[in-house]
Parts: sequence; structure tokens; C-alpha cells
Amino acid sequence: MFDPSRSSTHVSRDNDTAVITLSIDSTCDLCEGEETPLCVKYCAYGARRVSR
Amino acid sequence: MKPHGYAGRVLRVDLTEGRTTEEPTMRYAESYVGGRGINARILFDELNPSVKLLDPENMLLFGVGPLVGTLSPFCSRVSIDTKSPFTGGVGSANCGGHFGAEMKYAGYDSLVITGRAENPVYLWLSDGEAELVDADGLWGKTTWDTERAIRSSRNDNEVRVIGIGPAGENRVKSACIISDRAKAAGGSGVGAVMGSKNLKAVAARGSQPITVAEPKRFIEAVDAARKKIEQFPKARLYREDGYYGVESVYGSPAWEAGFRPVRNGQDDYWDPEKIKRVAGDTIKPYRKKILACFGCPVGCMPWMVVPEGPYKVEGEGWWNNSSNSFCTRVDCDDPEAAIKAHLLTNQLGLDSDNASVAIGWAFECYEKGLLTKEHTDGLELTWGNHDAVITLLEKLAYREGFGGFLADGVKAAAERLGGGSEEFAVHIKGQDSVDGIRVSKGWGFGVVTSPAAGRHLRGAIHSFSPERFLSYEDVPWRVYMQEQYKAILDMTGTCLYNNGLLSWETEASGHAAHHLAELTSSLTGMDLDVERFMRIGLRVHNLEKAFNTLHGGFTRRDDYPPKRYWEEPVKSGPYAGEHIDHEEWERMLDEYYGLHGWDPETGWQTRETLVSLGLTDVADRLETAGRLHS
Repeated sequence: MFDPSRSSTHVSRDNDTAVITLSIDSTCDLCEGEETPLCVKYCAYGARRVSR
Repeated sequence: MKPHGYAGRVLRVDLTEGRTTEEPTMRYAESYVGGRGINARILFDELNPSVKLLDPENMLLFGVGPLVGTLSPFCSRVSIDTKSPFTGGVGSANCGGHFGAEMKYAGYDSLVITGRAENPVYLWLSDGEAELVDADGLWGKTTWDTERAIRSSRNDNEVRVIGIGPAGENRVKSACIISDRAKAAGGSGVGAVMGSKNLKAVAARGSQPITVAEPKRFIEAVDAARKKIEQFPKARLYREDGYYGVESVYGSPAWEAGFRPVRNGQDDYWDPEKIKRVAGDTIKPYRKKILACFGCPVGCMPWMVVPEGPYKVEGEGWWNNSSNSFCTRVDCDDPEAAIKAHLLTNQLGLDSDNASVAIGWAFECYEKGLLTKEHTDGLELTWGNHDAVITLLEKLAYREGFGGFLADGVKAAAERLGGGSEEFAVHIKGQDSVDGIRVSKGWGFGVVTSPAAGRHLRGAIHSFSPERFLSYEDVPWRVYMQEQYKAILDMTGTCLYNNGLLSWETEASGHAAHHLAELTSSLTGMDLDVERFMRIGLRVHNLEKAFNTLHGGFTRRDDYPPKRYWEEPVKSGPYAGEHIDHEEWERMLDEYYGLHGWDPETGWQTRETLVSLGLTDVADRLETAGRLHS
């Protein structure tokens, strides 16, 4: 399901400046069970990476 | 239980009574999927042909398809439909951004707006609740300031806003509806209809989940579609340079093949030195980044900055059509003035395509001595006078002085002025049309036969392959197929500008309809193979055609190009002398009507065709009105 209220990650954009902010909260489990966190996998711009 | 892939609810808003009601989306979704499909069905069923264009009884529908708000690529689109103030037929527009996804998260798939509020209001949608909010303080504001004000009042910078600017408030026919400050649902006067209802905006914020029927299969379908996109070299180029940056570099066919009519369509070829000053590669310094709509794996819209000088401006938006509207059509080659003009249209809520057609026509009238400074509030409408263009946009949006003369579209203006100006008033079925159609026959035929009247977002073939521009071969069939494919895009909420990436006719990407059928089936649980999906697309197209016949009275004669493009050839450049062959056009119309099963003489639909599409009731209504071929 696609459920914004359960998402651990958030992308927002300031429409006055076009500055894009990415945030991740403490509930993120790096999509446990997945090979790659889905936000990393589906970020077409390569803006997200896992840093261990 | 909420249906998979849908918010599950259609919201009906009676602005006159200030009342909202709801009904289940699935009442319509099985036969019309969503978005434009559901809009078309409700509009046809419920709008009486006697309703005038800006009457409170006219309807304004916002529809978001099932794929919107999911991981499906390119799925952000909102379809907006009404009875068009330009044509009296179907008015249909569409935009991306982030509003559509938020509308679903707020709990609604479709909005059906009727009536007129006594005072300005905006509609607030949040987690299954709908509320009409006083908008007196917003009336008169630009679309940008409206978004700022609503977000500020809600203390939430993630609220998504779609609404009108001063142009819509003043019921200017070229008014559009702007989402997220930059995404224009342009054409068909949808902004004028919204303004006539005293509805300033719709704002949404939500956290309602969208469930998936078959998650594993859906993710596999997403991965397959994205893989296909990444295989296409242009995906990377768009991401780096934006759509305009890629498709309009100097020397590209886009400049030479008639897609950008010059000086109100007097020619289709522009001076190369002027092209160089506004081509994609030379406009780069003004582009600070590329932005993407919700769920888009590519991104195509630039953030433009003119840092200083008289045209200082900053904001999202500059598009292929911008260089048509504010460069070639008015012969202006100042990139900073053109960027300023485009971003001004976003703020004022003007559709740059429609607005520039009326302005281009006025410039030609001035050139021919039909208009003078006495008429134009002292403005010198000489080709290349970009300051006059910018001033006219403001006047148009506020119906101020000469702007008011242009505010009902080029057809109305030409009828009032006369003097032969009707000959070069470029409109199709009554709607101002920005598209050049003399060179690329597939593009032109799709533009002219579009039920949304003179728009390239229906059957127009988006193949930029020079060897196919001039050919009439297979055009009717390709347009017929593209119409169905575009309906699928609009029903699901998918962006057309995946075209070339997932287009049904692009060899590099193959069978896009297959991807969309698989995505939609796995998401919703509906059994949609390509054949069934395309058939639903055909059904929606036929509904709109029937609406046009019933409300607009259109027949075959309305499927001819504007007089200028019918009679005048291209004057210069590599396609000099190119024109529309009248016999070929007639042959194409015969073939096209034949493919559709419509009567070639009148262009009317037949009972047999409508029944085969499950539209027996539509046939009955047309027959009662005496507009069904027998």
C-alpha cells in the first residue's frame, strides 16, 4: 500500500526557491527484507544512497 | 472496503447551496477507469445541452486516475473537463504536479463541481473531509500568491494547491488552471469556468492509504516499465537538460518542421539567427535545475532565473510551447523577455498557447493597418516588441482596455473587428490554436480532429521523425490509435510526455499500452489487457465526440484546418511551399471516419458503433436530438 502516514522518509520542495529537502525519520528500517531500500531503488536522480 | 488503487470516492460540490455529497468511484471505474474517463461519462450524462458556457449549471470536473499517487512512473496527472467556453463542445485540459496525488491521499478520485458560490471560496480537502472556505482574501491574487496564502493559513508548506489567477476570475477564455504554481491545465477555458463559479482554488492534504491488489505483480510491473524508460537514451538527457533543452537545440527538426508558426502563422520558418538566441542550448544559462512531478523518474520542467534587469524573474516553467508562444509567433528573440512572459502567464493563470494566439493575431492586424495605437491603448504591436507582449498579457488577464477586446478569443475578436481579419484568425472549432500543422501531417490531422478542438494532446502524433513529417500515409490509422492510447494515459493519470519513452509507436520502448494495462490490472485487480484498455479508450473518445455533436453541433465541416493553414503554404526554409493537400485531407477524413465507424458525410456517429462500445444510451440521446446517422 502507498500510505504517506506510514512513510519514514519525506521529500519536500520550497516553491519559492526550488530547494529540495530530503528527510528520514527514526522509524526507517532501511526497508527490512528488501535488497535495497525502496527510496534508494526508485530515486531516479541517484540522490539517495545507503551509507553504512 | 476501499477499492484497490482508488481513494474510493467521488465528491460532488454544489457551490450554490454550499453542499457536498459523495458517491463511490466504482460506480464508474469498471467502464471508465478514472480521470478523464469518469469525467467524460458524468459530463455527458448530466449536462443539459441548453446550459450556456459560463452558467452556474455548467460543470467542472477534476479527475485523478488509479495510477496516481503510486510508484507507477509518470503518474501525476489531473484531468479537468467542462463544457468549453471557446467551442460549446467538450473542454478538456490536463496537468501534472503534485496536486493529483495529494487529492487521492486526501480521499477523493474525482470532484464534480456545479453551481456558483455567492462569494469567492476555495475547496479544502483533507483526509476524507471536504470544506468550502471563504476566499475573499484570495480573490485578485496570482496563482503563486494564492498558494503562499493557503499554505500560510494552514501553517503547512506541503498543502498542494490547484487554482486560478486573475485571468480566471475575469472569465478570460484563455484562462487556465494552475497546479503547484507551474503546471498549467491549459486550453478549453477551464480557468474561466472555475472563475465563473467563484471557486478560487482547491487545496489538498492527506494521508489516506492507496492499497494494491497484487503488490508483488505491481512492483514487477513498475520495475519493467522503469527499466524500459532507462533504456531510452533521452530519459537521461531530459533529466539533465529538460524537455525543451533536448528537443529544441539549434538545428533540431522542432524548429524547422512547422511546429512553431512564425508571425501568427504567416510562415513556419524562423530566421536562424533568431533561433540561436532562444534555442534550447542557448537558454541553458537561465536554467538552474530540472524539477519533476510526483512519481516522475525523468523530470522535464526547468527552474528558470533571470537574475537582473527589466525582466528579472524566478520560477518554474519554460516549455517547448513557450518558444512558440513568446518567440516565433510574435517574432521576439529576447530570451529574458520570453521567460518573463511565460512565468507571468503562470502567475496570472493564462494559458500561454491560447493567449499568444490572440496576441499574435493582434500584431498581424496592426501590421496590416486594421488596428492602430488608437485601438491598442497606445501599444505599438510591431513584430518583435516583447514589451508590448508582456503588457498585453497583463491587460488580457484583467480585461483591461484592449486586453478586454482579446479576452473572448481570436474568433470573437476577429468577428468584431472584421476587415478581413477573420482570414488569419487561427482557431479550430472556435478555440484559438497555437499549433503549426502544415508540415507534419500526422500532428496536424490529430490537432484538427481533436474533440478538445485544436489541441495536440489527443490524436496528434508525437513522432519527430523528419522522414514521416510530410507523408499522409497511415495518418488516419495512427491518429485513431493515438487517440485511444492518450485516453488510457488520461484515465490512469499518466503523463503524455513519457511519449518517446513509453509511447505505443516508439520502437525503442515498444508496447506502452501493455505496461499501463499490467500496472493498472495489478494495482486495481481489474482485468485489463491491452485490447480491453484500448477499447475503453475508444469508448471515452466516442463519448466526447457525442458530447461535441450534441452540445457544439459539430459535423465534418468542423474537422477542417483553419483557413490560413488550408490556403497558405509555408513561405521559406527547407519546407517552403509545403501545404495541406485538399484531396488528401478529404481522403484522410473519409478513412478516419471509416476506422471509427462514423458517417463520412456528416461526421456523425452511428448506432452500430456506439452499441458496440456499450454506449446504447448515447446513441438514443443523439437519435432523439436528430444527430445520429441513420
